[in-house]
Amino acid sequence: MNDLPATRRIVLPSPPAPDKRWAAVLPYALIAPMFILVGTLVLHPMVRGLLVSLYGGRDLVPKPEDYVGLANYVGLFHSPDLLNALRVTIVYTAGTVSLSVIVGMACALLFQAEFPGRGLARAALTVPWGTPLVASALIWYWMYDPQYGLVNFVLRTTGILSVNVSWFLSPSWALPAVVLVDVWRIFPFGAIVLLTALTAVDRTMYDSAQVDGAGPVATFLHVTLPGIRPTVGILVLLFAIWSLKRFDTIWILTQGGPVDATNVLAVKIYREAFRNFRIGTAAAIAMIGMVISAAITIGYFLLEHRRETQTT
Amino acid sequence: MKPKLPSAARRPRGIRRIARWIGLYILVLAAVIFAVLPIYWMLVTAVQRGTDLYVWPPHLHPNLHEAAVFVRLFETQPIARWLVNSLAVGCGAAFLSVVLSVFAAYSLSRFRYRGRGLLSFLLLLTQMLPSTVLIVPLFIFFREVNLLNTRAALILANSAIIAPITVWILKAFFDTIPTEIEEAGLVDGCSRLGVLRRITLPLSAPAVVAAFAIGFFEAWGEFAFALTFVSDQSLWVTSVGLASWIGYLTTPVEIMMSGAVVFTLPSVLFFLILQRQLVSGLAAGAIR
Repeated sequence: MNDLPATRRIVLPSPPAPDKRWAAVLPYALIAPMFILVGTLVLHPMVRGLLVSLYGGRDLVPKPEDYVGLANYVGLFHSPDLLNALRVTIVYTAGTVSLSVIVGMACALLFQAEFPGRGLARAALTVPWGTPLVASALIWYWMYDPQYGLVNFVLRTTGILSVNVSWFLSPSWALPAVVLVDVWRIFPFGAIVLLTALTAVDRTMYDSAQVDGAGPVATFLHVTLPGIRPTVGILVLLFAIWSLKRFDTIWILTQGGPVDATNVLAVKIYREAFRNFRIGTAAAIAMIGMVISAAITIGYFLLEHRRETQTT
Repeated sequence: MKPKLPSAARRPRGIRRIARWIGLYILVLAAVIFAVLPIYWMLVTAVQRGTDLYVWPPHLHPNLHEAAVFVRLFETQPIARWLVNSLAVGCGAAFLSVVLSVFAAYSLSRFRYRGRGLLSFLLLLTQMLPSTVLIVPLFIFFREVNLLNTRAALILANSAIIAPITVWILKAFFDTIPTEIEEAGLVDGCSRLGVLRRITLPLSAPAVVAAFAIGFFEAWGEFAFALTFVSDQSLWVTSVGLASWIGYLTTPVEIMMSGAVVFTLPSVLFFLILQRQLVSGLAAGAIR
């Protein structure tokens, strides 16, 4: 995007002969304060984190004699802990992303129809999205209460469960339970983004599908899905990035437990640093998390690039 | 838009048509209940006599005689102080990031220059980073510069996370303002910055307000930084204060939920009032 031909935008008439040099510097001067902020508080800590990850010891300011090279990384890759954290992160992310996209898609398809009360229902969908994460953690903590929680009550009265489940004490249920909290929060975003994409699908395509006698499933697979595929792809990446970031709800609900069943990378970093005081190890895990996020970000950019070249 | 029900191919007879509408409503209702039920449950629980919460089956309706719970909340918990801290951090972070974003977004929107692509990539990258990745080095940094246990640390850390979002919102809006308007200003002898101040910024007032509000609520709900960089209880923000109730388990559930109501209400109201513009705008921004 740098080598665009000079467009109207750049070449502006410069009547009172402003300083040429100033004009060349101006765009950089405008963006500089932002980069001082982001550089100091995001980019510089990333480098610092890399340095800290090369030191052992428990001090926040690493001493030279604590330099251990890559030992933190070697240790991590030999410990089952990291593998477990990666596995849990992948399951959490995959579960959240797939469920949110599926539920969001179902809602978007429903909301395509014009029906009385549609605006109200749409408004209702935005409510989870406006709820602060900590508040939703509190609410779900109470809803998942083993004895008096609404979740157990609903599942018991509908006959799905015969006894109450202690969701956050069960190594097999804790992860699905926190996944549901995240799905609840982000599926409305998916629904609204997909609804916007659906309305942009060419109407005439549906008509010709009808003429060809295609059923609803065939129409969805061959007309709707290809039309919204770029949006779905980017939504998946966005949700994946959000899930990788998620710390608040999991920390409040389970602190990574029971027996590390919900110990995603974000939680593990925090636990190593501020519970076990293994700063170097925490920084090393953070670096691994950063590499994963960067890989996904690059994937996002590649997809966006492909989309741009497709649409123009 | 015409009603677009599944397989409108064959013209449905009366009964099938009605069945289809009923099916549609049942599914819509299921989605709405899933979305709203936790919020309803928060309200019901907040307005309930303490002893009525530990019964089976649970009471499904609010008990309006218990509305005084909100008075008890403010009397027994330091939540007023937490809310003030959240307000200060949210306003500070939103203000800082919007001011810097106006200039940065103008630069990205109006000029083509070397490094522009790289700069916008770096901005987007910072948005993708899990904030826990930054927590350890930022903690070390804030300790060095003596900002641990200050609201300033939270304002700075939050604004750095919010800024890339507000830049994107403002850039998207600046892109829609025709350059011809600015050219007129330049011809009349305005400097580039004068054009930004006298023409572009007034035209962008709605976007600036939206960016501020979005940044504010982002910081309002933030938890990880607030938990780590501030340990002094008098400086706690609401998110940390509310979360601390779960650790101690001595806070009655109805108080917990009334606190959640107070914390959630401004944010949900904001999203409801502006839902159409906001969500579609954010969606477009996220997809762009």
